[in-house]
Amino acid sequence: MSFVDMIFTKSIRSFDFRVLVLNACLLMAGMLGEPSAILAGEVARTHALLINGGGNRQINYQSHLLHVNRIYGLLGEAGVPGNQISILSADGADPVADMATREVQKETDFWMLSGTRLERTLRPRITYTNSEVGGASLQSATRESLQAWFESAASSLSSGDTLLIYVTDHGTRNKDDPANNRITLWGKEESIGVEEFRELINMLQPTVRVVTVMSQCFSGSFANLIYAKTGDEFPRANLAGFFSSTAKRPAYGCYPENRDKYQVGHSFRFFDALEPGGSLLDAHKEVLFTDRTPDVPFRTSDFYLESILNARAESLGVELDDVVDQWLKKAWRDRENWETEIRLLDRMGEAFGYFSPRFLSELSQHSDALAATGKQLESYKSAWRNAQRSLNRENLDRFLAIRHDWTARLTKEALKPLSEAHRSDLTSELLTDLAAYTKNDSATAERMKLLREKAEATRMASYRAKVREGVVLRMRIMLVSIAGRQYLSQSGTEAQREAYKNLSGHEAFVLRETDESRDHRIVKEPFPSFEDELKIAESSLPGWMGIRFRTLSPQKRGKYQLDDGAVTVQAVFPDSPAQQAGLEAGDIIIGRPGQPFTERDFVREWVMTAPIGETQSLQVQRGENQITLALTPKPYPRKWPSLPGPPKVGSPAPSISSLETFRGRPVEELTQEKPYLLFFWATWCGPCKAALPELMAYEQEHKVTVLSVTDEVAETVDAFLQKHEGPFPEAIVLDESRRSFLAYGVSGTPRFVLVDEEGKIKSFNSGYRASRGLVIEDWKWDKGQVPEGK
Amino acid sequence: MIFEKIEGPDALNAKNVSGPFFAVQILVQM
Repeated sequence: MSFVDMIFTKSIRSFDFRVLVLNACLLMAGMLGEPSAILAGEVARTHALLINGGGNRQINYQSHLLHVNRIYGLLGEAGVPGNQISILSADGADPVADMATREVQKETDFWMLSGTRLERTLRPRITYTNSEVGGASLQSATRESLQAWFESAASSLSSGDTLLIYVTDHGTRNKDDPANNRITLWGKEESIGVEEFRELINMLQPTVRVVTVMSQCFSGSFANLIYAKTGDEFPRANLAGFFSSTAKRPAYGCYPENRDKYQVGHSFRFFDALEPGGSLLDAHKEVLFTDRTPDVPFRTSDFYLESILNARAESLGVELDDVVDQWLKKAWRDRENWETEIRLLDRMGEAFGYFSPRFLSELSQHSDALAATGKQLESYKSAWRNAQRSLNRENLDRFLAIRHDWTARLTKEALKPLSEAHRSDLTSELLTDLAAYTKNDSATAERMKLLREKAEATRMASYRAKVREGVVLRMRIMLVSIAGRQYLSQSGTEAQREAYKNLSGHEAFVLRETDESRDHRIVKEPFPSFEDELKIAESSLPGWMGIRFRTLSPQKRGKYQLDDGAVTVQAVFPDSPAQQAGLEAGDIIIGRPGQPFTERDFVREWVMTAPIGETQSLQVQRGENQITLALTPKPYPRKWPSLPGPPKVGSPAPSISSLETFRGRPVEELTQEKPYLLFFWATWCGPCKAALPELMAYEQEHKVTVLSVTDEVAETVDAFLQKHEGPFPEAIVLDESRRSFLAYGVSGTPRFVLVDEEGKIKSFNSGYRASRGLVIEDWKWDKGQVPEGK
Repeated sequence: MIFEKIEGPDALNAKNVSGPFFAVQILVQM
């Protein structure tokens, strides 16, 4: 592959070795360096516990099993005896299918079906299979199995043994206590938290060394295992570990493999790094620049050093970042002490098209810019993707309109009995025909190509922005760790130094000594510089007009004889091009003068691809008249302006006189010396229907007219009332343009607005739950009084 | 909130989403 640049890292590894020797000398003087690697040779005394909880078969992804297979192979190669490796994976030895797999989409043209009704039906289906690992026997990943395993290990493992615990899995976050997240296990509600896991480890003899590698979501919480009990000041002397991400972040290894790419994430890169042998610490350092996901790998000594500096900052009453930068300043006075770390920071910067920081203050400045660019790219991505999906739907509809043979073959009934293989063949055949059809329609083909390019460019750039945000956090952790080590060497206590030495010593555990004869290749994919990323963002910048819209109802379309592309404007954003052009909520956008839009939602693509800053004419139906407005698209904003919120309680109720009366006495104004309860609702709104009995009771008891306002058309309301069994308020008005929704700041239904005799707003309430009822002053519903329906 | 129902002619863009206590209409904006 021409875009892949293979580089060999032998030279870097041998350099590290020299630095390790140097650092070993420095250790004598202080705490600056890393410990030299603990040599293998104790492999006969290494035991491994591999855990893949899985949860249930729908979410037990194949990638988990691939992880277990990889580490099982590595352990075997290292010479760990098979009977010292235990695997707790999903349902264990049960031959029932317990794992979800899905073929990677093989048709390269499948994107043409993205957003269409066929996308879900024709993409490869998930199939379930039984998970197996080489010749190993599996145990079920339940709490009971874990408990039994540790009970047995409590007596069988002894001083001098090392237990390697590997976890690949889903993990859940504990928002109330980030120090006690959970690992998902097999079965309903089966999981284990940090505190329970700690109890299991506490069962082992304290002289057994424990090294963990965990790559489940929110795994960083398990760094708290270094403490034998909650609240301890010093870590236990026998445990260290590595984590794919922090306690607050998901890990990308626990997503389905086909979400993005095959074999991505922390575990795969960690195992790649272990292939040629060497310490877990070396593997971790490599992962920092090879894991090209938003993961934030870190290790227990990082966690401990940060806790020391945190305590320091707290005692001084200053921010952690200030303390860190102060100690970094001291560290950088003798840069030669930190050559390995500086090289690693440089390496990370280089791998991710970023700079190599020396202080947290530099990083925080950059991370703000990064977050802003990330958000911007995310919104461009959605806009281009939605436009692309709209056009795909149009194109497929047009194709099917002339290819009745395909229409017949693609009905639900025709597709249902097909086997996976037949459906795959049909998909290939369909895509061949659809591609040929599209090629003949060159205007559409060009549009599809452009939208796809923009959608792809922004999708990838948006993902890279997330990766960079993760990289900034990785760099941050490294800087904090360097500052912590400098602090320990100058101001730390003997006990702190000892604790750090233990942690970093166990982190340097070697499973197998480095085999220099094995080529160790790192696949280096292109990652544009941040400056180039900004250029990509700029070149994918969509044009913007600042409206909220929806497709015009068939009734209105028929009334004014408009095309399918006509849309009704629901809201105009303040200070937007649409507002400057004079567009109003309720207007119908027809298209360009003499060129009406013929495709549904085309107005979006039109404005996105229109030249920014160049004035365009727009044909608009306003009431019974057609007018032409001059619109000058602006760049898509970083942040959309806010629409006006609802009027305040006590202020005059906005007018509703322009609404169409569906039934009941027409309401001219809300100041007719009697109160009104405005009930914003929709026929498809479940809680609106649930509110009806109480609403009717309120209307009857309080002599308040309930005025029901919906944005649906008369036909829809009529059909609803025909079917509706039970009471419904007499007065119903229609507001297809949603002017009143906007005026009253109604973002969802039901919404209840009480207007008093003077036409002033007395109260607002949103949503309805039977247990709470209508929240209106002086009202409590006696449920026995259900009024008769109308 | 668990949404019970998604409907509308163009559910991929504009959506009507009804939850147990509240329902929203997601509109296309540009």
